[in-house]
Amino acid sequence: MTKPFMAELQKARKSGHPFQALIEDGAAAAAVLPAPTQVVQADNTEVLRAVSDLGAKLDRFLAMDAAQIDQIQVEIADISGRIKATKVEMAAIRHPLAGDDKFQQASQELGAVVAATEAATNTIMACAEELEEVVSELKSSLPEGYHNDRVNDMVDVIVRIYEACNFQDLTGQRITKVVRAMSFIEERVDAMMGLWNKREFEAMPLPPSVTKKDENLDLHGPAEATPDSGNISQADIDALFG
Amino acid sequence: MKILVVDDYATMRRIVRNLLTQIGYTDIDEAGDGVSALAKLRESKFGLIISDWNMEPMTGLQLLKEIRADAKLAATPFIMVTAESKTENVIAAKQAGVNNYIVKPFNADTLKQKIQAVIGG
Repeated sequence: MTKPFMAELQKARKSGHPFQALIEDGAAAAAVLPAPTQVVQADNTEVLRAVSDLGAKLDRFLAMDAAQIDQIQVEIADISGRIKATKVEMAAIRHPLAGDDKFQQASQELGAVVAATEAATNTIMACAEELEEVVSELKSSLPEGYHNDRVNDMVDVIVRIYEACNFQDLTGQRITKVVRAMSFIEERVDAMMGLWNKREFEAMPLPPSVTKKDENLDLHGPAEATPDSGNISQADIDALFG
Repeated sequence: MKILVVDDYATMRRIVRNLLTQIGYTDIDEAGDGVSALAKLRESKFGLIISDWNMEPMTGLQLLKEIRADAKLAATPFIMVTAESKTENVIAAKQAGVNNYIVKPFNADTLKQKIQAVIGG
């Protein structure tokens, strides 16, 4: 070819079929060259056809895939946004720098629910057993008649108390199932976070506190009055009131 | 003496009412939150208020402050009965003018002692 290479490229780009234009230009340039002194007989039809097909494919690729590349870029940006949002949600559940562990806190609260209902149920049962003893004594000391029938009614009531106390066993089992499910979720969240760099999560905003507030005071609800819990006993409260 | 029991949990109001009856107080009224408690206090005279803290829309602390800020109600004895036992919460309630403070769970003896300490007798 007789023209500079960049000029050829610019012309080819303007035509909209860059590769085909280059081939045509090459053919035109070849036409003005002096004839070779020695004629070489060779059939290059197949080669030229293959090159032409390749050029046509390249033209189609350059013209058609620009829109597809734009679409892919949009989709990648969308996926990137969704990954970032997912990370923010994961950090909200289990932020590495958060002071409180929501899973552990919830498990402890549920454990306390089970313990408290168990203690209350035991007290109810003990009281009902005492009543049963009293009723039994009364029944044996009374003659047949109205009063004896009423004592029997009391026995029926005590049986209903016993039956109602079954709730503790059922709720205890249900809460244990919830604790297990939470433990499973906690493990999965930890595994998901383990796939990413921990420092990424540290840089994310801390989740808002779920503790209820009244003015600037936290309302924690029921808690044990242990020395390091910040809670005080009724005796300490009494001392404050003199 | 008429007593106003304020708690958003109806079962708790029932427990307090039953305990008060057991220890000899039978003139009892109930309110489910601070706002309705204030309305009742402005309607008729009460000798004692026994209130929970954690309620909506007006908390027990806010109710206490409203009462202490109201010249007609300011002198009414107020006992807080709550699960909140953080030192700063108790101190805040004391600074707001609570007469006594009972942490849940409690029994009839504790309630009786605190009432007697507040109203005398």
